[in-house]
Amino acid sequence: MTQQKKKSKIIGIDLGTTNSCVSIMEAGAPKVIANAEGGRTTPSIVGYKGGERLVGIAAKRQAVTNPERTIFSSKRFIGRKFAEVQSEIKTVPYKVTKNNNGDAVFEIEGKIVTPEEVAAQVLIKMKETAEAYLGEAVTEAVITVPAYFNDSQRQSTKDAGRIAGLEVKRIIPEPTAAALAYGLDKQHDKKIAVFDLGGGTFDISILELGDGVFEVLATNGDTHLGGDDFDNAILHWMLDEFKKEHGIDLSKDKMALQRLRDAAEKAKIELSGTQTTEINQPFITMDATGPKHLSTTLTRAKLESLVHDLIERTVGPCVNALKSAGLTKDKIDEVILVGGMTRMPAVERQVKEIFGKEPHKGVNPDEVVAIGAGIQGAVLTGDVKDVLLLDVIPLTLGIETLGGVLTPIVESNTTIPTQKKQVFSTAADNQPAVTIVVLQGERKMAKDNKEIGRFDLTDIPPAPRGMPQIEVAFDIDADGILHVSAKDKQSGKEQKIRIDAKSGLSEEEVKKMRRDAEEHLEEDKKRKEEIETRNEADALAFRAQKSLNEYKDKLPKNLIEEVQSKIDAVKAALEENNPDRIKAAHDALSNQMQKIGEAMQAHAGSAQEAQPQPPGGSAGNPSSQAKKANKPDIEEADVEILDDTQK
Amino acid sequence: MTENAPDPTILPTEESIPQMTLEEKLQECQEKYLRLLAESDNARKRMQKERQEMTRFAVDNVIAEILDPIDSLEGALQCTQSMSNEMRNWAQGFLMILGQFKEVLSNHGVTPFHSEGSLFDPQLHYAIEKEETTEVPEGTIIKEYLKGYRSKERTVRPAKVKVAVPPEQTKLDV
Repeated sequence: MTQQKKKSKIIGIDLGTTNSCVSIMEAGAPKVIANAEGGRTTPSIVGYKGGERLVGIAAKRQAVTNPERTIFSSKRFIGRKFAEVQSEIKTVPYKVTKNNNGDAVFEIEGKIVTPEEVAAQVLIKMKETAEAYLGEAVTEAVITVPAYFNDSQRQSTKDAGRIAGLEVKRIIPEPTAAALAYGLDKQHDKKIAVFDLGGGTFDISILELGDGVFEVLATNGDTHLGGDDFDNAILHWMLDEFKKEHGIDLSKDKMALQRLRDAAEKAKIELSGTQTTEINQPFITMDATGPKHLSTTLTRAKLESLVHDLIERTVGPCVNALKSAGLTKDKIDEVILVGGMTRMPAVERQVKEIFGKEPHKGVNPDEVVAIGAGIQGAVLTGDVKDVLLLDVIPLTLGIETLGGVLTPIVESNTTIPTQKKQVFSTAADNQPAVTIVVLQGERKMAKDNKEIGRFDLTDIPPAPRGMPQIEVAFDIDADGILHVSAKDKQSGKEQKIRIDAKSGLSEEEVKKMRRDAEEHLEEDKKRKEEIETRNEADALAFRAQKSLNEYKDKLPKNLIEEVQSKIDAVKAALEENNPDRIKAAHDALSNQMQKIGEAMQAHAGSAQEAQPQPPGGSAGNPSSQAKKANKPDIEEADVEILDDTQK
Repeated sequence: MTENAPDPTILPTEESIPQMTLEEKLQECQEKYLRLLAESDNARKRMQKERQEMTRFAVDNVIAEILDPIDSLEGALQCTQSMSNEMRNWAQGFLMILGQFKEVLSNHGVTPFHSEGSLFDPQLHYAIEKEETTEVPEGTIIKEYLKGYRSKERTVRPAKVKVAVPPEQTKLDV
């Protein structure tokens, strides 16, 4: 036992141009970890000031005051020669220079800082985020890079990991990670297009998957196209609109501009889910005539016309990528969307048009790459193959209770092995036996589900209705074999059966039953409610009769008669089996019961429980004549639920 | 053919392998079991912690959204000087409504903080503009565009501010 090696987790990091994201595999499922500020992604920005270093959102907030020493988009420079990055240098306010071997590096406060060191700062932040969550040190990581990164860029990214104190177990291409997140690695001979439109860059990659190995066939893109361009398009439209209406140019007003910038991003996000959005900015500015408000409606159609050119810019690279992969669009089997901007319906439509295929959705496009990296990390740890393949039960298992209702014991999708217990009781006085009917299925009524077993628990000592405690246990082992036992807690008498998984249903049947359950959901619910009303009324009549008999001497005669008539009404309604009538009679009796309570209180005695307590079911016939003290919380079943929480 | 007749050589193997591995297997299972147990326990603790965090973030996030209309109301009520007495009386009422909103915030531990004149701190402030000046020390906040709010342990919304920076010349000397 002592040689037990401590298996630490390998984290997956999406080291992005604008934002980074970290994930781990937890209990078989990938999980994105939020940073200390609550963000699920962290800006890939590092600010330097004297000896101080700021990373992430804090660095972003001070960027304006410190532009020469705030490094963003360092990914555009990592592993590249100074000569290669001339066009990039023009887009950044900080100083890029070259070191002895001609690599592009940053000059900050007269000192050389390499892109690897900057990336390392971001990686440290991601590492710390994971450590804070896991509560243990993290030393290994999988890091993603764009598919077009060359050896030098990949090596530099690896070096950045080392500087951050991380052993980089693997560098994987971002599109590959996205495909992993969608579980596409389990397929064979597929051509996959990964469309990645993020905060600042657009990448299209064509992958080929053969035997679980991904090969990048072609990449293309636009290194300066992203979400910010879309926000700006909306911002300019708002400025124009305001100018048209009020003749005031807000672009000079920092405060107004700031508010509009936020409003633009908000409107963009909202329009991914709705057709129109209101943009309301009261008191945006003021002139001699008084305050001015910006109030306008932006429709999705208008937004799409504003950003049409931007979306159009993704077409060329896709066509080129297909061409260089030597493929036509009908050869693409799968399309994956990555990056927040792909949430925009117009973008999705464009992708569909380019590749003629419905893209995969479902995984958060901001996180899909990090999730794939986390999965890769788990594969490397051995976690993924090492994990026992735990099965789940496909359909709910339960027993039939009073009124022919299915009372679930083990819900569908519960991971096995598992054990669940519930306590039931009898539905009639001196009931000598209960029948446990084991059912499988999702329908509310017992008869609509499949009966997979049945047995009797006999020789229950005579006792009033609801008193015996019959513990029903469902135990499902790892092979799916179900053991059902029923035990009378008082006498200790027990009965059990073993039901083989095979006696259950085939996969086809399971599907059919699920479908049925969905189709009949409403009517089943109604039927169940009816039975519940019935059981409730029955139980109430029973309690009322009991109270009446017990306190006969202490109650005024007219009240006794009144209550008795109401009890009879309930019984008659039950006999008649008219749900509305039952409900009405139940309510009438319930009111009378309160009067008993009041009368008793006046009498200083204490008649408890005027509250109706819902029923349980009896497989057999409910005995409405039965009498006995009813504890609150008791559900009469065939069998009656005493305690749900007992497991 | 061969499947029909059991291969005799298998027999010893079948016996010996379990003997060799039974203990190991038990140990492996035990280890796996313990690890699984520990993992599920840890996952439970993490989930608990995360749930607490999430609740806190959720409250903060909702409050952060309410701040926008509060800003608007505040902005609106700053334009009351030139109004008639009747209007001012109305404004007085709205000022009280604003007070009610702020009370809700402070009941949840969210309070505004003053930024102008203090030193820029990226944990609290978001710089959207700078101004070259020597009149105040570098990093001093000259103007607050948007009020910042914080709760006990977190900045709910950073203040958006204008920050003093030294003029180009002096900076080069540094």
